Amino acid sequence: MKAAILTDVTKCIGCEECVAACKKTNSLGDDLPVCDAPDDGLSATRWTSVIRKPKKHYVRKQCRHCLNPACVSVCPVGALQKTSIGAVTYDSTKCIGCRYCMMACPYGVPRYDWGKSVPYVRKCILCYDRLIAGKQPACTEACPAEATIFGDRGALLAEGKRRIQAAPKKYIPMVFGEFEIGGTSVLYLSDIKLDFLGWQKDLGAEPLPELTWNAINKVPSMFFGVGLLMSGVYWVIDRRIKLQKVRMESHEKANSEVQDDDKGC
Amino acid sequence: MTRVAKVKTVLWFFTGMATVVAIARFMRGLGATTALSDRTPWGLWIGFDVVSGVALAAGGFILAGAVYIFHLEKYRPILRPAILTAFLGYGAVIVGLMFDIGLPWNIWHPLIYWQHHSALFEVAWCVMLYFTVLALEFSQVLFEKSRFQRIYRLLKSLTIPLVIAGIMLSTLHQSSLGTLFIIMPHRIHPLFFSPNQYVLFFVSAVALGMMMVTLESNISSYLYEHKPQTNILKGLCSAARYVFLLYLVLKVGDLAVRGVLPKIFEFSWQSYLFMFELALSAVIPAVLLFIPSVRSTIKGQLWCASLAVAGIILNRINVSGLSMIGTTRTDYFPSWTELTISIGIVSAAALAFFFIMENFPVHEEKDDKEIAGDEKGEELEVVRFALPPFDHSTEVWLGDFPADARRRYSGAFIIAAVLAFTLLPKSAIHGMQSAVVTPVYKALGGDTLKINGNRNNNIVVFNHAKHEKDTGEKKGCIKCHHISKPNDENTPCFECHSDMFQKSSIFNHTYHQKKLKGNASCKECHKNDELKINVSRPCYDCHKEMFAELPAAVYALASAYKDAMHGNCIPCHKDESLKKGKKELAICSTCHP
Repeated sequence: MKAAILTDVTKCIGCEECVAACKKTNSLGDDLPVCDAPDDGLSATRWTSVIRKPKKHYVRKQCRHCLNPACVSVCPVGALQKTSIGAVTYDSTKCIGCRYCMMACPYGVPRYDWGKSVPYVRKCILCYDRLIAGKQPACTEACPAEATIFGDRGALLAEGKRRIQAAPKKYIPMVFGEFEIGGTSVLYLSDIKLDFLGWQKDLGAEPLPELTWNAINKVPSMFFGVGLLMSGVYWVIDRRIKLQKVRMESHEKANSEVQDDDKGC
Repeated sequence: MTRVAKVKTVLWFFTGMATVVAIARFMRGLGATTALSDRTPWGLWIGFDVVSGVALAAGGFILAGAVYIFHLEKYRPILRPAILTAFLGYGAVIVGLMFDIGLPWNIWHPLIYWQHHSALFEVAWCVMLYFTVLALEFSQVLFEKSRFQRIYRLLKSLTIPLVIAGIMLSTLHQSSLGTLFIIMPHRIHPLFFSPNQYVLFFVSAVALGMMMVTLESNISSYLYEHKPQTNILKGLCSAARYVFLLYLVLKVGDLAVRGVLPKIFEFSWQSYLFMFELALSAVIPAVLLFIPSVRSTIKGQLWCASLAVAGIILNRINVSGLSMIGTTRTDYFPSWTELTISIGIVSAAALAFFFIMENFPVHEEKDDKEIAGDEKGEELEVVRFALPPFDHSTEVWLGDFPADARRRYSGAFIIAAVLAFTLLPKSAIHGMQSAVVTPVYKALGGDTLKINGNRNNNIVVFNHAKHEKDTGEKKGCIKCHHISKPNDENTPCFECHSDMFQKSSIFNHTYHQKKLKGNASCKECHKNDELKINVSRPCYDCHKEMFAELPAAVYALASAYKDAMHGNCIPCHKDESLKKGKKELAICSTCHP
């Protein structure tokens, strides 16, 4: 099974039960005032939030658990992992705190414990412990309106398409997150545009790690190529200088011999 | 005071300031000492100390390659200072990184947790290995005059493999620093983003390395009052012009191929920034270096190198920060503590540079054979050790007395440390959580305050006059403004308004529903008329006893959030709507769209 969440924006009533459940399950504690955070409500102590949009639209924001996550690909120590079940998890014992994941995430999801002297990266981990125990995430369990539901990604995609087919006028005819940056595990159905969830309006369909990979896969050839080139240049020039020296010496020798011969005469 | 002594005093001053800030940084964390935020996780320390720092130290591998691989012997006199600069530069980068990363004691983790698909992993390894290579390359200098001649000979025999390894590693991580930013097309403005960033970073690093060697060599000759190496540097400048030209072609070509060339002429602030950067980092140096009189004069070299260095540093800062302002709308500006750390690290590295220049034979002997035995003595001493001048005829030391110097440097250090401590923000001393101060502003007119408690500009209006009256005039001040709680300036609202997070005054709906016998009883409170704003009966309809004691216990019965807010706004709105005849002022939907 590939764990996934489908959030239907048209069904959400904005009660924030999911936020409360998330805080309780992950023991996140009180929110402290944060300076200059993006206005999506997420923080190190709030891993999911409800963004209020005009005309009673409530959009829940959380980690999208991308199928090919940028944060996982950039982490230099593998503190972030895409688990086989689908959740993107975080191992604080490995983390060095470089915050590259925060820079790389196109949705700006990972947050940081700025106020602490031992800070960690904080984000939704799809209640990984609960998934392993065979339960569903706390947020989907808490939702009173079934606006956000848990299931297998394939099944949820099918369910989303079924809902669109059943009420084509109600929805924008696409499952948000089906193809976006290579697909995400957290899917949305909506009647308003959800382009405010990411840094850019259109994030494209190409998985972000592939952009880096195009450069990184040249590394071995570049590394050894430069090494060979430099060794070659050194060898050629060094040999030339040596040959020149030998030639000079033999020339001098010959000259001196000639001189000696002259003297001899 | 000699020139170098003046500079050293200033450097000790900055080191002193940075030392105090450093302690605060490691005790209280990043949030307390930097302006970094979730919007801007990478700031000055990454943009300048790390990304620019690595590029600034590129001179080491370029000159090592020129001398040892291409046998361009004329550069040998400036090789060792360049390697020393590179070594200290990478040291500064690593120290800077220790400040920036949240868990610096885990900095060695890339050694054991391998992630080959991360550009940062590659950079980490390369920087680590190259730092070792530089240390080995430079340690020749330390061992040259020591008793350990065997180690010196061993190191010397390793020179060529080390130099080649250094070039391989440098090529890799100079370009990989560009690769870091390839994954952020969503953050970086298209003019500054490029999928070929790694090529641009490498070429500009080579150009920057050459210019940095030129600049640093001229500055150190000026400070030590030596004859500048103008002729050698002329050759370097002459080679650098082609690198700048290549960089310019690549940069513009990259824009053209990606089809974002027209964006330069958008005349937005990003396009101006880009034009400025391109002029400073490529066009001006390329043009200037083609003028022979610029290349061969100290003044020309200094100007050109300074502009180019500033330009390429600007490029690094643009790519790693400024180009993202448009998308993230950040208001990040480095705090003075961040600036102090950056300047302090550079100062400490410069002090180390001076120390080594003065105490070790950094200026290499040309060749033992070339120098005749007699001339070796005095003259060589001055050239090889960068010491203040010594007048041999009168045997007078023209430098400072060491005791004087020490006193002055310590003085500068201590004054700076004290200054930094007094300037530290509250959060850097007490930690961030205990130092949260609610931003309060005076609202226009009246005795009303605006409290931006959550820093999200959802302002709470606070009627000070009313609170004063209700808590007992002047005697009541201490109820909120007391001095018995540490780090607290005024009592948070919820200490009195204990139910302020409820939507309305405490009312247990379920309890009432049960007591009034389920759904059938809805209409007891909720009248059928939906057009009325108050859809339910007021509590006191049933609970007549409830407000009996009100005047005495107003403090205990502080209103809930909604009622307090309404109480603040509605009376005035009502008055004004009647006075001005503007009906909409009294309608709910005017304020709640």
